[in-house]
Parts: sequence; C-alpha cells; structure tokens
Amino acid sequence: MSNDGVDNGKRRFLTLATSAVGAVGAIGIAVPFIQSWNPSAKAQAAGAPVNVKLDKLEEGQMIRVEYQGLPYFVVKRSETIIEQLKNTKFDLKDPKSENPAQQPAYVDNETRSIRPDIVVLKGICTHLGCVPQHKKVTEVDWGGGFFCPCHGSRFDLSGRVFAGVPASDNLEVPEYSYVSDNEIIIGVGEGAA
Amino acid sequence: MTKMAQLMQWVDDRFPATKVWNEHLAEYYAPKNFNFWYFFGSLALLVLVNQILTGIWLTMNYTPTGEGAYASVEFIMRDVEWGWLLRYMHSTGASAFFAVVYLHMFRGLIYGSFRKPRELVWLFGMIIFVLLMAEAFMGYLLPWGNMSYWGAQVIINLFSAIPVYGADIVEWIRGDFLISGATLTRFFALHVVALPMALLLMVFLHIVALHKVGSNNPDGIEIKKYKDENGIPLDGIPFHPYYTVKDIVGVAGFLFIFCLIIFFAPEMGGFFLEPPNFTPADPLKTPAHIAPVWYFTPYYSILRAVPDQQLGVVAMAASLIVMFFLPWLDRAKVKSVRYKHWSFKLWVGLFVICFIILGYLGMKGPTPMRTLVAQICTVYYFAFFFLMPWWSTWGETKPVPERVTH
Amino acid sequence: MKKLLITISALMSFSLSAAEAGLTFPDDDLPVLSDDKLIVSQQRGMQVYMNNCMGCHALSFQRYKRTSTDLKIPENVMMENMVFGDEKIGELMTNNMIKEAAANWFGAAPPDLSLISRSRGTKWLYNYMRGFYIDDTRTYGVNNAVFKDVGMPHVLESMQGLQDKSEKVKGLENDIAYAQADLAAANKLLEEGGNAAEAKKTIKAAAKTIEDAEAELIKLSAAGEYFVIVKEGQLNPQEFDTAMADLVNFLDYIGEPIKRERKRLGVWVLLFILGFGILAYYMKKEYWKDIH
Repeated sequence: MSNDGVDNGKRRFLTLATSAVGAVGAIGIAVPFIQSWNPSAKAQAAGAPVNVKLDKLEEGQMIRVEYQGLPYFVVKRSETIIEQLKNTKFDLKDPKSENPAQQPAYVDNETRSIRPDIVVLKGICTHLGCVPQHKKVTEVDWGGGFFCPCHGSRFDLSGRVFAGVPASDNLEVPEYSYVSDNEIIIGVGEGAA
Repeated sequence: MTKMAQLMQWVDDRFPATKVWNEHLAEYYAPKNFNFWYFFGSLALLVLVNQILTGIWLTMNYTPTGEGAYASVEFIMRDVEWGWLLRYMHSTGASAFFAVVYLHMFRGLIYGSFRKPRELVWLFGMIIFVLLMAEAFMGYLLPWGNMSYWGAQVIINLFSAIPVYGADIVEWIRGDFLISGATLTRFFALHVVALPMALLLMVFLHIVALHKVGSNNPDGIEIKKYKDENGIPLDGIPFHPYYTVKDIVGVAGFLFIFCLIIFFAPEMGGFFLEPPNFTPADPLKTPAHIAPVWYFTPYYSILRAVPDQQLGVVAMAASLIVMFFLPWLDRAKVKSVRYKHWSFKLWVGLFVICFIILGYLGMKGPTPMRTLVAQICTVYYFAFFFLMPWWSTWGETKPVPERVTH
Repeated sequence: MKKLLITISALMSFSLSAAEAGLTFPDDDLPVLSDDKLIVSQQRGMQVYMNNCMGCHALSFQRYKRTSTDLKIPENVMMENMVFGDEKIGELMTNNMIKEAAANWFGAAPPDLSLISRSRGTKWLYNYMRGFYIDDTRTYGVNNAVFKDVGMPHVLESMQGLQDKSEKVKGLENDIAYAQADLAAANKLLEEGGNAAEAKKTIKAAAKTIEDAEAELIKLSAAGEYFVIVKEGQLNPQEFDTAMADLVNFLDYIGEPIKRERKRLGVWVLLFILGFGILAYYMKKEYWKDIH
C-alpha cells in the first residue's frame, strides 16, 4: 500500500457525500418505522368526533359520552346556576380560566361554554386521572359540580377547581362545536369544520 | 489526550471496544482479490437485520390466533401507516435471504471455502441454513392464508413417515387433531423468539470462526503464508475501509433490486406471495396446486421423486444432511475452480442445472414425465455428493500461484 | 442418450404448461387504462359494486374513508349515494348478511371479496363476470363458462340480459365431447391389450379433432362470437364489458389499496438508491487507488 496519486480532498468529499446521502437514506427508512406507531385507521375511526343530540337533555341533567375511549360530560345548566357561576361565592383556584391549556379560546371564561347553558367537559380529573362524579345542586352543600372520589378534588358546574383540593387545574373543555341548535360534535372545534 | 480519546480509553479499560473493532474490521486482513461473489456474506447480514427489524414491527400489530391472524395481516396492509411497506419488506426479505444465501453457498462451493481449515465455518453456515429453512417455514404459516395452511399441513405430515410414532408426533407438533390456532401460536413463538435467537448465535459463531482462520479467496490460497515484517499478510488489506466501501456498493446494487420488487412486484408473479394465500385458511378446501415457496421446491421435488413416502422423506432429509459433509468429500489437490481440472466445472454446472430443474418441477403438478426428470435430477444430486471423493481427484490440476492474482 | 432426449423433450414441454389450467371462455384481457381514466373507472366500478354486489359480498377489510380518499370521491357524496345504511365513514365496508342463512340459500356463503382480485387475478374476474350463460339444468337457470357450476345467480341479468353459447360453439363442444369419449375408449383398449395400431390411430385422430376444435373456439371467442344475446338487457354488449372492466378495476383497487401509491413512491426510492450507488461506487474507486 502506498499513497501516491491519492487525492485526499476528493476522498474526503466522496466520503462525506456518501455518508450524507446514506444518512438521508437511513432517516428515510426510519420514517415508516416511526410513523407506523401513529394511531391506525381503526383507532382513528374509533376515536372519530362524536355527535351528541341535546334535545332530550333537561336542565340539571348530565349525559356521559365516550370520545376516543374517554368519558366526556355534557351538562345543561339553568339560568340561576349560570348567574351563580358568574358571581361565584366559592374560593376557586382559576375562576377566570386563565390557563389556556384547559379550554379552547372560543369558550367563555366563566361559564366555560359556547352557549351558556350547555357545558362540555372531559371527565378526567386533572389531579391523577380518575373519573369525577356529577353532583347535582341539590345533592351537596357546595353548589353542585364534580367530585373526584380518588382524592377528594371538587369542581363547580363549570368544571373550575376549588381551592384547597389536590387538583390544580380546571377540568378540560374539549374542542367542540354546534352542528345545529340541538346537536354538538365533540372533537371538531369552532371554525375547524 | 483529547476528551474523545480519554473517553475511549475509559471504555477500553473496561470493555475491549477498540480491540474488537481492530480485530474484526480495521485490522482484519482480507485477501485483496475478492470478486463479485464475495458480496453475499455482508448482504446476508443486511437481510438478517431487515428481517429482524421489520419482524419486530410486524409483531406489534399481528394477532397470533386462528381467529385473528388473517384479518390482522390485512389490518397491517391497510390500517397501519406504512404497514404495507413493513410487510412487503419482510415477505420479500424472506425470499431475498434465500437468494443471497444460495449465492453465498455457491461461492463457497466453487472456491473451496469449506476446505481445511474452514470446516467449522461451513458447518456453522449449514446450521444457519437449516435454521433459516425452519424460520421461513414457520413464518409462512403466520398469515394464515389457505396456502400457509396447506403448506404447513404437507410439511408437518412429513413427520408421519417416522416409524411407529409418526402419527403421535404429528399430533404433538400440531397440538390438535388438525392444524389449528394452537399450531399457529407455537409456530409464532418459535418464529419470533426461539429461532431468531439461535440464528443470531450461529451467525456470531460463523463470523468468529471465519475471523479466526481468515477469509478464503477466488484463488483458494492462504494469504497468511507471506507476511511482512509486522506480521501483516502481503496480500491482505484491512477490511475497513477497503471492503466496507466496496460492500456499500454491493448494498446499493442489492437494494435496487430489492426495492424494485417491493415497490413494483411484491407478489413477484406469485413466487413470493402465492395467490391462494389471499384466501383465509380453510381446513376443508385444499388449493388446486400446493407448491411450497420457491426456495423449498428443490427439496420438495426430491421428496416427490421417490415413489415411497418414508424413503422420500429420508431422501429429502439426506439432500440437506449430505451438504454438511462437503469439507470431507472434496479430495481435490486445490481449492478453487480456477485451478481445478475442467471436469469440476462440468460436475458443478450440471449440479446447478439439476438444482434449478428440481426447483422448477417442485412448483408444478406432477406428471409421469416430470417425475422421471425429477428422478434423474435427484440421482444426479446425490451422485454429485456421494461420488465427489472419486471425481474430485480426476485429472491434472493447474499450478496454483504463490500470491493472489489481482 | 435416449434419456437425455427425453429430458430435453420434457423441458420443451414446460412452456406449454400454462395451458394446463384448462381452456375457458371468454378469455379476454382486462383493458389497460391510464391512471386518470383508471380512477374514473374505479369510481364507476364502486357504484356497480355497491348497487349489485355489496348486499351479499362484504369488503370487510376496507374502510369507506380510505376508499373515499383514494378514489377521490367526496365523503358526503359517497355516504349519500353509495352507502345505504347508517354506516359511518370510518367503518369497515361490511354488510348485514347472515352467513348461515346465505349458505343455505346458495350452498355456500358468498365470500368476502376484499382480496378476490389478488387470489383470482383481474383477468379471471373480468371473464367470470362476462361468462354467465343460459343452462336450464342449473338451479338459477344459468351457468358460468369460467367457473363451472358456480352457486351464484346471474345478478347482473338486468344489465347484461341473457346470453347463450352460439350454435357454432355448441357444435364444437359436441365434437370435443365425442372425441374425448373416443380417446378414453381407445386408451382403455390399449390398456386391455387390444388392437394397438387401431387404438393409436383413433387416439391420434381424436387428439387432432380436439386440437382443431379448441383452435376454432379460441378464434370465435377472440371475434366475440362465443356467446349470443338471447334476451336484451339495459346495456349493449360493449357497455356491459366496460361496466365489468370498471367493476374489476374497483376490485383490483380494493385488493391492494396502496398499489398506485407504492409505484409512485417506488420511482423515487429507486432514483435515490441509484444516486447513492453512484456516489458509493466513486468512493470505492477512490479508496481502492491504495491497492496495487
């Protein structure tokens, strides 16, 4: 082995070029492997947006729907409740819903809904992921709302978390919108459809 | 010392990283006259990696049950993002594996790579080949198509040729009175866990044994005979970078053909994915033609060529076992075809022709004429091996050069 | 030497093995379409399928949504015009047929057709769809020239009408049947050790008759004179052929929805590998300048 006639610059260039193209190829072949972990068409179909008809929902009642395998709560509130929520006498951690991660921009900050009477919440406690129970106004002395049996966190009927409980954030309001006056679709935000 | 060198020193004090790198790549001296035929070793390794990676990814969505298997393959093909590509890479990879391994073995045959001192390299390689056949056979059941089912039926029933206990053994292998979900599940476990582990171990041993004795070359001479003052073979060059850069060219060539098949002919006209396998397994309906996948057909032909069930199975097994003895059958004075008597080319040429004819006949339904041809080829197949101690000593050999021709 | 000759002649006969699957008619090739025309054909094919086939033959590995995207049919158009239940767009294309009951009606449950184009091949399907003809001995009054004694009724009768084998075809089939009987008798005679010369002569003559008749059948089929329409349908024969090509193109899509995309992608992958290979080749050449 001797090194006469070796062009080191050319060799370095060719090595770098081949390595670079090889690296691009390696990334290219990694893409299918990585993307195959995305939700499959089956999972997407199962997790497709859910339509909820509101015509049978009475004031004070709640419907539970399943969306992407998780429980979602739809509650209809009366005029009085709405007034009470707006001028709440309870001590809340985030009464004005200032954490943008917990609701879409298009819902009101206090009623946390598009239309004042209908509130849509993801039924997963923001503390450690248990499913809270719906408590009607008449059932409890704290104005009604949601109570998490796991660690005792309480939320009002707008899903806002009370002070002095383990959970720190309000219940999440999902992306949703009105298909008609009496029907909402969970999973499709306003302006997205 | 730079930071990098310090780190390397830290590792080397605890693990022989640099030593292994040098022994097997940077200071592994391979003969400088490797030709086209020497691509297939590294390509086999590449296909092995492909099979393991795509295989792992396929298990993520595959359901190894009689009820779910067939649908889960279609789920992979349609609903999983890129699932089709992973599946085709795996199914094409299976055929590519055999193509590459057959060519790799042919290289060994013509250049005498199995001769002393490389007998163990050959034996480990043969064990890899047999494991690979088991791996391919069990993998073929998993899509649970009708050809999967009946192919497995035929092969498992080969064991019924065992005297006295045959029927019981077959039932034990199936775990049922017919091939069922129980069979599928155990084949799945063997296919994805047990056999790949055994394969990896044997590949490791194959390479360790090779690097102990050093690579053969197209001249069939030992480069270790002439060394320079540092003990480096005069005709040897470091595997890295010289053969790594060369093998990359081989890899590109291989990938071109591999991808051509994956993207434009994944069924390969029914050779890689057989049409009846697009119908679910049906224990009550045999496909009109049962043919194994192409890489098994030569042995299948030998099986059918013998007009007796037990002897047929014995012949088929013997056709594989006899290959293990190759290092002790070849008695020629020289290793490489380049310096052997011309009659070697004739014997090997006819062997290749017979092997291909057997492979072709194995895909076709039997007719009296075809059976006769298969019988002639079978006789030749065995004559090639059994008579090798005799015919390999025929004629004058050409003088072997002292140094490799380059 | 004799054995070698036998071997060679056997090898030569391999090329004829394609015919061993048996001669069936019609035996026309599916017309090949350009990509743009193909997708329109597949859209029309889906309409034919959903209207006529879906009731019995599900496509249960395929989803409406995927079909809508790939065949460029807007989701709402598809759901309103082609899907006749309350299925959702993300669901699999199944039907409500009860397998056991269907097996009772037809002798065997109508199979799922998701993969039929891959197990049977498109050419077979194209000819099968066009191969129904009158046969009074069958339960539904029709038989199929490609799939003999199939249990399926002629669902597309309203489209195609009814066809019968032409008189010429019937005559030729008769000739073949007689020749085959002669052949069998002569073979038996040979086995029993009868007049060998006589038998061989008969065999030769019968084989010739069959060969000639089959050649004539091929000619008739190629000229489109194999069948004659005895009852008109809504479509004329050309229109019906086109509709069947559409249907088969649709099934071909359903068999492997990724087909078009994988070929498109494959071109880029191959170009990339080619470029990589060229670079790698020059790199190898550069390094190997060291080796003398």
